[in-house]
Amino acid sequence: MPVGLPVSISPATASTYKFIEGLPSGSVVVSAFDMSAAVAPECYPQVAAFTTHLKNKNLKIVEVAFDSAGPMFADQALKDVFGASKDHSLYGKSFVNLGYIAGGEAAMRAFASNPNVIQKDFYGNDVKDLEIMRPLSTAKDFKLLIVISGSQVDNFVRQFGDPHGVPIVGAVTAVLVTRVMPFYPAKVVGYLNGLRGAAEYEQLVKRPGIALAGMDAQSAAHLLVIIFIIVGNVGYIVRKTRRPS
Amino acid sequence: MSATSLGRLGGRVEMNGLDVKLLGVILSGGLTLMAYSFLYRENRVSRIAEHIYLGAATGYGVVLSAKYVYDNAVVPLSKGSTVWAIPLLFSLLLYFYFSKKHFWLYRLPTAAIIGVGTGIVVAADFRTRLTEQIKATFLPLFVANNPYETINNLIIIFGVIGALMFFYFSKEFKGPTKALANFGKYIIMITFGASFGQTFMARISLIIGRVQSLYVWPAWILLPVAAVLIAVAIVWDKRKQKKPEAPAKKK
Repeated sequence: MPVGLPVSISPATASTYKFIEGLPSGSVVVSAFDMSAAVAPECYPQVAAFTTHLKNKNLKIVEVAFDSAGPMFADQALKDVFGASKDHSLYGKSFVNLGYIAGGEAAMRAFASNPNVIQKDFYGNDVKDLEIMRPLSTAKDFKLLIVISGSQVDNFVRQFGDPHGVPIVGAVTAVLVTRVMPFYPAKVVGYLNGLRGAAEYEQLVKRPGIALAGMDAQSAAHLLVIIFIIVGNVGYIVRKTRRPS
Repeated sequence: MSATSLGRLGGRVEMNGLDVKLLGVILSGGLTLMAYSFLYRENRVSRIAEHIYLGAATGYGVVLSAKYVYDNAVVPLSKGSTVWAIPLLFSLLLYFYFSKKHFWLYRLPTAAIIGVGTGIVVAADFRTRLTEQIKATFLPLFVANNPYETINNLIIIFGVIGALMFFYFSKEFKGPTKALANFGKYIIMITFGASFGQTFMARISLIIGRVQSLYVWPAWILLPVAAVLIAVAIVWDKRKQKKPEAPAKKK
């Protein structure tokens, strides 16, 4: 039974939401899946919330992965939000899953220079036949880059943000947030802070999901740790004052 | 339905009359509990789960990488785009890693990979993480009608200078410079504290994710099964400990 402890909206999440709200309908947004299965409990709820917002705003979504596990989550997000992925009538027109591009940062650079650098999408369709990909010539054609990552964001700032001026939003694990902060708000216009960020975004897009459901447990765990820290420190002070001089 | 066919039937994915989604939930829940059995002690079950995870992740990655090479290099080559033969043959040299005699050939593609990777990163990183970051610290010391921003700017400016001074060991600091280096030290400590807090939050989120996956029918049925198995393991261990050692044979 959920307690429903309040989850306030942080400025970084609010600025992410505001930025996407401000994008004109029909703009192309790229979601870069640089995530593995190990970070899915934190990152996947963010992806679902983001994709819902992009769909509600009628924005076009280009999904691409720089981690081999990425396409699987990209496909799942399309199925969860649109009801289908490759079989959907809008596939190739409003959204696409390009699949995994091997090569790490070199692959990012190649994709940023020419998004049509790959021949086939994740499902084996010719990329040149996909309507959504035709007007794209460089990363400058993307109005936003959403980085879904559990490892780093610096590489995306290096290859997309600085050379092409693409605004970046981070959908990152809580561990990674301190590495995103130096780029906020100049290079990274907003970010979601792990599961908490996902819960905040679910509230903003009015799609309560798995992240919001997990926040009671998260808050309870934090409260428990705070209590342990207080008890531990009180115990330490008491022992210190009782010790004979 | 044929033995190999896989299709969606009424929202269920079936294979030979077996609900694959149900099987997936049971497998996922089972593997989660197998991995968590490590919390009691390291055992074969947790190691099997670990090996399955690594094997599956590696296999999946290898297949996707091979598919990428096939789609983007082999297919164009077969259609007459001969330029793709160069990177393909060059990358095959990597397999000379296994030859003692021709190991030097392995070094050529390795050098190219490292050279390209370094070239791409270093040039761009100088801007992203050095000049742009320095630029971001050029802030006004006083912002009219906005005391919060003024304080924030002062913390950023003196925090950066202080943290850098803390790592300058060639001269002993005295007076105001010592105070500034100390301020930098506290800024570093706060940063580490924030990193630790964020890491803790992430770990709790991961546990929540796993527990949520066990909360799905029929995965939670595995919980009492796992509890019984761990209880059996504990009793087994205790009995083994109590068993008296056989007396050593006299020579």
